[in-house]
Amino acid sequence: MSIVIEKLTHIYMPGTPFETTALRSVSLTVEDGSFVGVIGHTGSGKSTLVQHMNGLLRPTSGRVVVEGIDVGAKGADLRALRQQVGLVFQYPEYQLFEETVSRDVAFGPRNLGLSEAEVARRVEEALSRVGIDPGELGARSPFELSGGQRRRVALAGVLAMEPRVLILDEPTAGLDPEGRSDMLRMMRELRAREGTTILMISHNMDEVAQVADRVLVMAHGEAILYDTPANVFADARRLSGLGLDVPLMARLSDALRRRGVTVPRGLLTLDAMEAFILERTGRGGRDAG
Amino acid sequence: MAAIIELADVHHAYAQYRQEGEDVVRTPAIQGVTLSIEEGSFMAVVGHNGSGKSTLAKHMNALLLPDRGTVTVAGMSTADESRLWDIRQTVGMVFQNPDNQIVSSIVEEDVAFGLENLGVPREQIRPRVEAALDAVGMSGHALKAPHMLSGGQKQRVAIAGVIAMRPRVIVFDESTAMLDPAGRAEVLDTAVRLNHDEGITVIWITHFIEECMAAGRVVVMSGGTVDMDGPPLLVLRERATLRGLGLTAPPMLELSGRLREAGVPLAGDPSTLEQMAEALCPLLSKN
Repeated sequence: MSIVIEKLTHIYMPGTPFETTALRSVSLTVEDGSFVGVIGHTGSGKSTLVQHMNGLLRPTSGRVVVEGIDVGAKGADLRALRQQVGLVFQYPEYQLFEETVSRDVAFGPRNLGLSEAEVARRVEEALSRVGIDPGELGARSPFELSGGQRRRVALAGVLAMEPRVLILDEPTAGLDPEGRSDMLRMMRELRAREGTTILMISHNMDEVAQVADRVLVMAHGEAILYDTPANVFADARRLSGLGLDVPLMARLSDALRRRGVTVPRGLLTLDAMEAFILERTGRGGRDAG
Repeated sequence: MAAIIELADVHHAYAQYRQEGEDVVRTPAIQGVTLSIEEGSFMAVVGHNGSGKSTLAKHMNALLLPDRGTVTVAGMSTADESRLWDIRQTVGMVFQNPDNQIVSSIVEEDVAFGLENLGVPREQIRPRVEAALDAVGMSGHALKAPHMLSGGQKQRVAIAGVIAMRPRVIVFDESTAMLDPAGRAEVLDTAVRLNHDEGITVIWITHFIEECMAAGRVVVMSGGTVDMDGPPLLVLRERATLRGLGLTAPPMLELSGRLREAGVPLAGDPSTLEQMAEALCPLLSKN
């Protein structure tokens, strides 16, 4: 169990006229190595929730235990926690500041007091992992790179800390389609190779359907649904009542059902829909993938 | 219909200054683009990052000038400095980041900003601001602070600021790139409505290929040249060509293309979700 949250409530500015309850008694468990898509309308509490996971916020009440560290406890080792949990904010490329790409990525590991050799190894590995050639671009200024490259350098800076849990807030926002699919592929590879637990906040349901094995739906500060993508996206009406979309292929499935066609649950991607249609029309020569 | 913007053999290269020495590296961004844009049309320009689409957009109201070739806006050459303000009033621009385009702390003041700078008489400003906010569906927010609005709403305020200047053309330079799906739909719907109801020519620069379905004409760019040009249902069906340019066809066209290739006898030419469901229904309910 990577993350255990029990009855977490968070109130901003308690006792003032601006008092706002952002989270109401949220309980959930994130298993080690799972990939959770976190969805919810603006103001639903999803950012407040993930900020508890690396100790940027402390619970008003309830408990958050991440990799064995009780975040709200007195004297909790937040430094150790933040080594375990990497948080990638929205538009992280705005936070690059060093003179060269390599130095920017090295900043975190160096602050851990690691040896220079270990820092260099981590920088090289993190950059390679995000598809940036350290030899070619390591000595360049981050500001000479394209937007998509800068985003990847920022991600490398977090990966160089070798976190067990990676939390990303809208990691594909503003990227072009190629940049988006690169980013999703990197996250999938990271999880496959390192077993990293990943939480991804996203507004893009098609992306969530592609990568997540669990979907957490937040609304009004509560965890409304926490289930497989097939089950969460089966209830299109409930989601649209919360101002949320479902993947395009789930909508196509619904449109077919309304016409009396029997469609199995969980056809959420174009590949899955294609495989289903080919099979049903007796042309299922291709592997369902 | 007459052309409102004409580009003839336009070339543009960016100069990159290295830190040491004076050697200037010039990176070509557009290389020989010729396009004629009809007044009242809705033209989408799509391409991956670095394809030259934003550089092209910035030539349409003289934010950039061609190194070679000419750009003519309503009969005025963008190289003619004396017509700069006329050109910019004819062609308005809406950019990517809503937060970078809002200058005032109250929505209606923000929309009035351009008019005040033009020296429009006070008594004309109010009705024009009201009409502009109405055209983007933001009348109810006139007295709000922009930072209280969603991304899509902020973009609509930015559009109202442009509309208040009464341009004949609006260029949307990746105006939906930073928005969530709901915000993207809001802004695209607004552009479609302005084109349809007010006859404003729309040039819609995007990397979301599915947005091109709203246009009457799609121009696909790559490597600084125009590679494809035509109605969306013709251009966006060319899956192999698009793939070669680093793009994927919109989902329903991609699906129908794949199914046809596999020999599924899809009837009609489904390009929307409802059409696709209609075409699939008889094939799937038989067994």
